[in-house]
Amino acid sequence: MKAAADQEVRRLLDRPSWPARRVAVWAAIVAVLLLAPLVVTNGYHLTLATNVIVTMILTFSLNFVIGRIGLFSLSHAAFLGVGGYVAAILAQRHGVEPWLTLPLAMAASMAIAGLIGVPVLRLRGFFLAVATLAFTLFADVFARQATDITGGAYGITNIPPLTLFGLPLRGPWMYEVAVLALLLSALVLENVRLSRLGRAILAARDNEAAAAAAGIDIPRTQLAGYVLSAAITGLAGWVYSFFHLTLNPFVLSLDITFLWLFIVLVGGLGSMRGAALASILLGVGPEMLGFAAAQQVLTAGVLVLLVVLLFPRGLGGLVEDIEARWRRRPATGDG
Amino acid sequence: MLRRIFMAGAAGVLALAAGAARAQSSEPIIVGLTYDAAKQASYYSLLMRDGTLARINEINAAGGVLGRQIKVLTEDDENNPAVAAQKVEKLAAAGAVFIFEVGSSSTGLAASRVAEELKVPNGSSANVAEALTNPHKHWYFRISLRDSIATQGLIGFLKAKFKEPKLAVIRDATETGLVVSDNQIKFLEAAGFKYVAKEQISPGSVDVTAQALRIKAANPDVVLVTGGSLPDLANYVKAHARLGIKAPMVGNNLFATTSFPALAGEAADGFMFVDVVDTGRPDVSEADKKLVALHGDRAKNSTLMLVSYDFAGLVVDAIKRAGAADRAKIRDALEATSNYPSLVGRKGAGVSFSATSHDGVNNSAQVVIRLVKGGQYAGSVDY
Amino acid sequence: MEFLPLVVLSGLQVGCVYAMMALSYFVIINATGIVNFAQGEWMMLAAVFGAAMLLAALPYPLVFLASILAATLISLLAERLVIRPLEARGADINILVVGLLGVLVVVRHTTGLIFGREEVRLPGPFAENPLILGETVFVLPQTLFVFAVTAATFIALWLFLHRTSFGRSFRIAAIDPLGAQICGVDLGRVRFAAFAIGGLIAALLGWLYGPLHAAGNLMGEAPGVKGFIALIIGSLVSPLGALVGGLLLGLFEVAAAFYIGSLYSEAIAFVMLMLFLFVRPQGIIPARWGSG
Repeated sequence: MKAAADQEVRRLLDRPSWPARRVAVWAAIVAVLLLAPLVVTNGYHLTLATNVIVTMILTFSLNFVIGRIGLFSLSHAAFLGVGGYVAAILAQRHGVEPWLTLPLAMAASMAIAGLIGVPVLRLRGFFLAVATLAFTLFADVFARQATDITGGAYGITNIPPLTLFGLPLRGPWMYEVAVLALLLSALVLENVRLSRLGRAILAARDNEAAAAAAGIDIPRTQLAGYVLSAAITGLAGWVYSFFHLTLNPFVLSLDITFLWLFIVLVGGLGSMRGAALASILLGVGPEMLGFAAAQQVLTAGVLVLLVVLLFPRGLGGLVEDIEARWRRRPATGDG
Repeated sequence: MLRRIFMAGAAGVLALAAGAARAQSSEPIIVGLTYDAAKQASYYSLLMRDGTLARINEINAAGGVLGRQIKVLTEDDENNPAVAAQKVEKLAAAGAVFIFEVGSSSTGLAASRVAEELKVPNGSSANVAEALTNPHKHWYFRISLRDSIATQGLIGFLKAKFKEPKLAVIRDATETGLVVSDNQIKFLEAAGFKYVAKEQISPGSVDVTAQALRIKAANPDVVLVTGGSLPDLANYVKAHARLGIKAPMVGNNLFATTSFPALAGEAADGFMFVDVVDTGRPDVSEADKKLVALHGDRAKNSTLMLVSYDFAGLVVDAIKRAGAADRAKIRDALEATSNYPSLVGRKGAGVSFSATSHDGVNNSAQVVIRLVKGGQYAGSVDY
Repeated sequence: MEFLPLVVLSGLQVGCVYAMMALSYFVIINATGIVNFAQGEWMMLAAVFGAAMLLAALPYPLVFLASILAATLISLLAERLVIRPLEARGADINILVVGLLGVLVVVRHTTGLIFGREEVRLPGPFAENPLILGETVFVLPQTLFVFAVTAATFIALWLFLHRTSFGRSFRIAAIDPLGAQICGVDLGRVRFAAFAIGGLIAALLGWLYGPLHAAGNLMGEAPGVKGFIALIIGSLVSPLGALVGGLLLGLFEVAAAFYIGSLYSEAIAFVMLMLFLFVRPQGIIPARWGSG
């Protein structure tokens, strides 16, 4: 009896390992993503895919902050902007080797997140949302007016491309870079989720008082999660800069912040799969609905309404329900 | 007998050849057009799309070019540079031999960069960013009144009319407002002009009293009104009149729209602005009448419609000279354009491109200063 | 110094617009906990309908009433078609928020398709001749109209919340939804009324802000954001918060533009806002003063 109980406790306390089936699914997805350019030769489709992937990296990190940590933060556009601009300015204006700008871009995003995170994370709910929104609005104005630093409203143009053995990485090569960045982000976020930090974050989200009583340093835990998500966002910004080779304040606009918010909320909070599906739906959906080509923004809005009305738990919830029904087990609500 | 077989055979061959040629000529030439359908730049963008389509439809009705009709594929760039780049790839994949970019300059910068990579001729009639042709792009052509030329024209006008005026500038914080006024300030200060006030309006503002009061207190000789948000700038014009500021106002080239006189009312009397189209010219006013007949009042004296109508004509002319719907040949034909009878410019010097310059408007003497009076566009000011 | 009255009048005018927007958010947040970002769109609809009907040469008073009614009805339509089904299925608050964001996009861009992209003049109810009050002081009739309508709206709302029985159930529903239900308050009716009142306030604002700017399908964006910020500054628990927050934000914006210079006043405003929130996140009005 005691042995069984011991085993049970040990199972709960041990870091859960990755079930074999899950690994297989991931491996299959990775393979498909990496090998896609061999099958998809249409440059336009690859560009579309790359755009969706960059959006996905961003929404994974935003989903982590809003869904997992439970902070309604609207400043991720600013972190993307910081990462993207640092990379662009260093590469284009100061001739820094593009690959080297990656750690610098991520470090810059993390530094900014740390700086505003300390005061901002003491706020809750709407106040946090408005404070972070104000920061993004400030970043937008700054990017558009500090022309000497950011290139103003036209931004940084003619960013030198990434090169590998002298070959400039464009088209399918840049697609692969984006896929690798996406996999890295997903891997890091998944591992954090299963780690001690991840569980502490979840505990703090679900019941602050209990978590604090259990000895979790909530401010530091949340700040750690926040800064981590900013690092991933900085990575997204870096990819964006070297994919488009121009960067302007558009990424800091309110429209884009709300689009990402759409995606995360439609995906269902906390669900990475939901965020991925929603990124694809809203990135590709309006495009694919041929007749709506002239009204893509409107189509995105209609899609959002439809998804929300049909699937009140978001796309992530839908996937869980399907999965649960398939395995004939109740959904845990924590996908 | 043999003769009859030979005749029948020849007739058959001729019929086949004619059929093949007809099949060839019935295939349309494809051109692309990226525009902002619904976002912040859409008001201007739609005017340019309509101007371009008006000219293409006119040409098609007269038989098309090279015996073929022209088919225009339009794509919404959502005023988003990333999407604009995507759409250029889509249009290139669809076989476009030329891409018109009629969105904002930011999207134009992104779109033209991809078109350059993919080697597709492309261009614009109203994107003013200097960076579009500097560094030089092999495949990009435009007839826009770019910032440096517009400002040089403004400098010439200010010196001729006002000697050494003290300047004030009021701008809105749109892309146009910020970039155009930044460039203006740079060039004007370098030319020796002094600014006594620099004010800014956040788009969507309720009130511009504070900015207008500061300008009044600074006592300028001329007030430069720059931007892309007509209601906000019209609010300034009204406040300017209400506060009794005597200095005349000079605007940038987005004021040629029917909304402006309607929004600013009487206060816009005497308002001048920099432009590239002289509606006094007979060929310009004829084109204007055609466009008004098609699109109603919103087309009246609309610079954007006129220049896009003009540019479409120039591009089709190049396709004709190229002799084939081939991207490289069209590019070369465009570069060889010489004294094309364009609608732009004060004295109608004709547009030419060369291996080193893909800008159609290169001479600041071509800048037109237009006047608003009595709620109408009242021709241009001589200087 | 001579310009001070004009600066103050301007700040108050801007402040009233923000206060009205904030109030329209407040009514719904307070009664239902939902942040309806689409409030700015009801304002836009009233202004755009109004401009379109005036172009069709319909009489002004009729246009005024009809456009406000139409915008309010669409607000109620959103409540019925989007919020009610979601609430019935126990959807998370975040899903409700994104549903309303979807409504915002659909309303804004459908209007753009139908009405066009031009920003047209919306004449106010009075002529635009300034009333001279002194040597350097004048005020526009529209400004007085803004003040009057704002004051009337706030007073009317206060009377509703404190002097009518339905209004009292509103306040109870805000403080303790479960308790209110036990007391027999129909939360569905409260929510419906909240969207009606919030929609009406936003629609009225269309005739305050529209004549000061222009009527166009994108007009809801700027006041929408500012109004939300104003509410947070003031406080989320009382209409007084919406008023104080709005007026302070308006006065601050105009004062900063006038005294510091408008080139950087926008950036400064955002930084000040962040600092303010770090120092006093609960807003200016203490909770005790609220409707409770």
